[in-house]
Amino acid sequence: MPNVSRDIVVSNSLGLHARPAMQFVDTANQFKSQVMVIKGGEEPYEADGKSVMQMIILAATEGTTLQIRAEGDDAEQAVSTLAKLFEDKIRRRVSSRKWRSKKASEFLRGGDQHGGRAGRRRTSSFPSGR
Amino acid sequence: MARQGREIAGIFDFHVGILRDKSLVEQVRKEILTNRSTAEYAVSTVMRKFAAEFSKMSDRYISERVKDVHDVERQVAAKAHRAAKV
Repeated sequence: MPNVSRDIVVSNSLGLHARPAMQFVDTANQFKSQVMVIKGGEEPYEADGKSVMQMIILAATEGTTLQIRAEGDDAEQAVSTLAKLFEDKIRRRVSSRKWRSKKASEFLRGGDQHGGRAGRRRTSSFPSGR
Repeated sequence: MARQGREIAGIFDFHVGILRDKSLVEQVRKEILTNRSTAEYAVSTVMRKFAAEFSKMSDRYISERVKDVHDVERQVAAKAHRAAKV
Protein backbone atom coordinates (compact mmCIF):
# COMPACT_ATOMS: atom_id res chain seq x y z
CA MET A 1 0.00 0.00 0.00
CA PRO A 2 1.52 3.33 -0.96
CA ASN A 3 1.99 5.66 1.98
CA VAL A 4 2.49 9.28 1.03
CA SER A 5 2.84 12.39 3.15
CA ARG A 6 3.46 16.06 2.61
CA ASP A 7 3.76 19.09 4.86
CA ILE A 8 1.68 22.17 4.16
CA VAL A 9 1.25 25.50 5.89
CA VAL A 10 -2.23 26.84 6.56
CA SER A 11 -2.38 30.19 4.86
CA ASN A 12 -6.02 31.19 5.22
CA SER A 13 -6.37 34.11 7.57
CA LEU A 14 -9.17 32.30 9.38
CA GLY A 15 -7.32 29.04 9.72
CA LEU A 16 -9.00 25.76 8.91
CA HIS A 17 -12.53 26.71 9.97
CA ALA A 18 -15.83 25.07 9.17
CA ARG A 19 -16.00 25.82 5.47
CA PRO A 20 -12.41 25.13 4.54
CA ALA A 21 -12.56 22.04 6.75
CA MET A 22 -15.62 20.82 4.89
CA GLN A 23 -14.03 21.55 1.57
CA PHE A 24 -11.04 19.48 2.64
CA VAL A 25 -13.25 16.62 3.88
CA ASP A 26 -15.36 16.59 0.69
CA THR A 27 -12.19 16.31 -1.34
CA ALA A 28 -10.63 13.65 0.90
CA ASN A 29 -13.79 11.57 0.57
CA GLN A 30 -13.28 11.33 -3.18
CA PHE A 31 -10.31 9.07 -2.58
CA LYS A 32 -10.22 5.47 -1.42
CA SER A 33 -7.09 6.01 0.64
CA GLN A 34 -7.22 6.63 4.32
CA VAL A 35 -6.37 10.30 4.89
CA MET A 36 -4.83 11.64 8.08
CA VAL A 37 -3.95 15.19 8.97
CA ILE A 38 -1.36 15.57 11.68
CA LYS A 39 -0.55 18.61 13.73
CA GLY A 40 2.60 18.66 15.83
CA GLY A 41 3.65 21.28 18.35
CA GLU A 42 2.28 21.82 21.82
CA GLU A 43 -1.10 20.26 21.20
CA PRO A 44 -0.42 17.41 18.82
CA TYR A 45 -3.48 15.91 17.19
CA GLU A 46 -4.10 13.40 14.47
CA ALA A 47 -7.36 13.94 12.62
CA ASP A 48 -9.20 11.70 10.21
CA GLY A 49 -9.11 13.80 7.05
CA LYS A 50 -12.54 12.50 6.13
CA SER A 51 -14.19 13.71 9.35
CA VAL A 52 -15.29 17.33 9.57
CA MET A 53 -15.58 17.14 13.37
CA GLN A 54 -12.02 15.95 13.78
CA MET A 55 -10.73 18.47 11.28
CA ILE A 56 -12.28 21.27 13.29
CA ILE A 57 -10.75 20.01 16.51
CA LEU A 58 -7.42 20.25 14.72
CA ALA A 59 -7.95 24.03 14.93
CA ALA A 60 -5.24 24.84 12.49
CA THR A 61 -4.78 28.58 12.58
CA GLU A 62 -2.85 30.56 10.04
CA GLY A 63 0.79 29.63 9.88
CA THR A 64 0.28 26.15 11.36
CA THR A 65 2.20 23.39 9.64
CA LEU A 66 0.16 20.28 9.02
CA GLN A 67 1.18 16.97 7.61
CA ILE A 68 -1.25 15.39 5.18
CA ARG A 69 -0.75 11.65 5.06
CA ALA A 70 -2.56 9.13 2.91
CA GLU A 71 -2.40 5.38 2.75
CA GLY A 72 -3.93 3.40 -0.06
CA ASP A 73 -3.80 2.84 -3.79
CA ASP A 74 -4.58 6.44 -4.67
CA ALA A 75 -2.51 7.94 -1.84
CA GLU A 76 -0.20 9.87 -4.14
CA GLN A 77 -3.09 11.52 -5.94
CA ALA A 78 -4.96 12.18 -2.70
CA VAL A 79 -2.04 13.95 -1.07
CA SER A 80 -1.22 16.06 -4.10
CA THR A 81 -4.87 17.07 -4.60
CA LEU A 82 -5.36 17.93 -0.95
CA ALA A 83 -2.07 19.83 -0.71
CA LYS A 84 -3.02 21.77 -3.82
CA LEU A 85 -6.26 22.73 -2.09
CA PHE A 86 -4.20 24.58 0.47
CA GLU A 87 -2.12 26.27 -2.19
CA ASP A 88 -5.09 27.36 -4.27
CA LYS A 89 -8.40 27.54 -2.59
CA ILE A 90 -8.18 27.54 1.15
CA ARG A 91 -6.04 30.63 0.88
CA ARG A 92 -9.04 32.50 -0.49
CA ARG A 93 -11.19 34.46 1.90
CA VAL A 94 -13.74 32.23 3.56
CA SER A 95 -16.49 34.54 2.48
CA SER A 96 -15.46 34.10 -1.12
CA ARG A 97 -18.62 33.63 -3.10
CA LYS A 98 -17.10 31.28 -5.59
CA TRP A 99 -16.38 28.41 -3.36
CA ARG A 100 -19.25 28.91 -1.02
CA SER A 101 -21.54 28.28 -3.91
CA LYS A 102 -20.07 25.10 -5.20
CA LYS A 103 -18.71 21.87 -3.97
CA ALA A 104 -14.98 21.37 -3.72
CA SER A 105 -15.22 18.52 -6.18
CA GLU A 106 -16.58 20.80 -8.88
CA PHE A 107 -13.83 23.25 -8.20
CA LEU A 108 -11.16 20.65 -8.56
CA ARG A 109 -12.59 19.44 -11.82
CA GLY A 110 -12.27 23.02 -12.91
CA GLY A 111 -15.84 23.28 -14.17
CA ASP A 112 -17.80 26.51 -14.29
CA GLN A 113 -15.20 28.67 -12.62
CA HIS A 114 -17.28 31.78 -12.81
CA GLY A 115 -20.20 30.47 -10.90
CA GLY A 116 -23.08 30.77 -13.34
CA ARG A 117 -25.24 28.55 -11.23
CA ALA A 118 -23.93 29.94 -8.01
CA GLY A 119 -26.32 29.96 -5.12
CA ARG A 120 -29.31 28.56 -6.87
CA ARG A 121 -28.28 24.97 -6.44
CA ARG A 122 -27.83 25.22 -2.75
CA THR A 123 -31.47 25.09 -1.68
CA SER A 124 -31.78 21.67 -3.27
CA SER A 125 -28.84 20.26 -1.39
CA PHE A 126 -30.51 20.67 1.98
CA PRO A 127 -32.52 17.89 3.44
CA SER A 128 -35.97 19.41 3.31
CA GLY A 129 -37.78 17.26 5.85
CA ARG A 130 -38.97 19.00 8.94
CA MET B 1 -28.84 40.80 3.24
CA ALA B 2 -26.60 38.82 0.93
CA ARG B 3 -24.05 38.59 3.69
CA GLN B 4 -26.65 37.28 6.09
CA GLY B 5 -27.74 34.72 3.52
CA ARG B 6 -24.18 33.55 3.15
CA GLU B 7 -23.76 33.15 6.85
CA ILE B 8 -26.96 31.16 7.18
CA ALA B 9 -26.01 28.96 4.23
CA GLY B 10 -22.65 28.36 5.89
CA ILE B 11 -24.31 27.20 9.08
CA PHE B 12 -26.52 24.72 7.25
CA ASP B 13 -23.57 23.51 5.21
CA PHE B 14 -21.82 22.73 8.43
CA HIS B 15 -24.89 20.89 9.78
CA VAL B 16 -24.93 18.73 6.66
CA GLY B 17 -21.19 18.19 7.06
CA ILE B 18 -21.74 16.88 10.58
CA LEU B 19 -24.45 14.49 9.41
CA ARG B 20 -22.16 13.17 6.68
CA ASP B 21 -19.26 12.60 9.06
CA LYS B 22 -18.65 8.87 8.75
CA SER B 23 -16.36 8.63 11.74
CA LEU B 24 -19.02 10.32 13.87
CA VAL B 25 -21.68 7.88 12.65
CA GLU B 26 -19.26 5.03 13.33
CA GLN B 27 -18.80 6.19 16.92
CA VAL B 28 -22.56 6.32 17.40
CA ARG B 29 -22.87 2.81 16.02
CA LYS B 30 -20.13 1.59 18.34
CA GLU B 31 -21.82 3.23 21.33
CA ILE B 32 -25.05 1.40 20.49
CA LEU B 33 -23.36 -1.95 20.00
CA THR B 34 -20.94 -1.93 22.92
CA ASN B 35 -22.97 -0.13 25.56
CA ARG B 36 -26.40 -1.25 24.37
CA SER B 37 -27.49 2.37 24.29
CA THR B 38 -30.65 3.50 22.57
CA ALA B 39 -30.02 5.37 19.33
CA GLU B 40 -31.00 8.74 20.79
CA TYR B 41 -28.80 8.26 23.84
CA ALA B 42 -25.88 7.22 21.65
CA VAL B 43 -26.25 10.27 19.41
CA SER B 44 -26.33 12.58 22.42
CA THR B 45 -23.35 10.94 24.11
CA VAL B 46 -21.11 11.09 21.08
CA MET B 47 -22.15 14.57 19.98
CA ARG B 48 -21.75 16.00 23.46
CA LYS B 49 -18.25 14.60 23.62
CA PHE B 50 -17.40 16.59 20.50
CA ALA B 51 -19.23 19.66 21.78
CA ALA B 52 -17.08 19.51 24.92
CA GLU B 53 -13.94 19.31 22.79
CA PHE B 54 -15.09 22.30 20.75
CA SER B 55 -15.84 24.34 23.88
CA LYS B 56 -12.33 23.79 25.17
CA MET B 57 -10.78 25.44 22.14
CA SER B 58 -9.34 28.87 22.66
CA ASP B 59 -10.39 29.86 19.16
CA ARG B 60 -13.67 31.74 19.59
CA TYR B 61 -15.02 30.93 16.16
CA ILE B 62 -14.68 27.24 16.86
CA SER B 63 -16.02 27.33 20.39
CA GLU B 64 -19.09 29.01 18.93
CA ARG B 65 -19.64 26.07 16.61
CA VAL B 66 -20.73 24.20 19.74
CA LYS B 67 -24.18 25.64 19.11
CA ASP B 68 -24.28 23.94 15.74
CA VAL B 69 -23.23 20.65 17.24
CA HIS B 70 -26.00 20.96 19.85
CA ASP B 71 -28.57 21.87 17.19
CA VAL B 72 -27.78 18.80 15.15
CA GLU B 73 -27.67 16.62 18.25
CA ARG B 74 -31.14 17.76 19.32
CA GLN B 75 -32.66 17.25 15.92
CA VAL B 76 -31.18 13.82 15.34
CA ALA B 77 -31.98 12.63 18.87
CA ALA B 78 -35.57 13.86 18.50
CA LYS B 79 -35.96 12.06 15.20
CA ALA B 80 -34.55 8.86 16.65
CA HIS B 81 -36.90 9.19 19.59
CA ARG B 82 -39.94 9.63 17.35
CA ALA B 83 -38.86 6.71 15.18
CA ALA B 84 -38.52 4.51 18.25
CA LYS B 85 -42.07 5.25 19.34
CA VAL B 86 -43.65 4.27 16.03
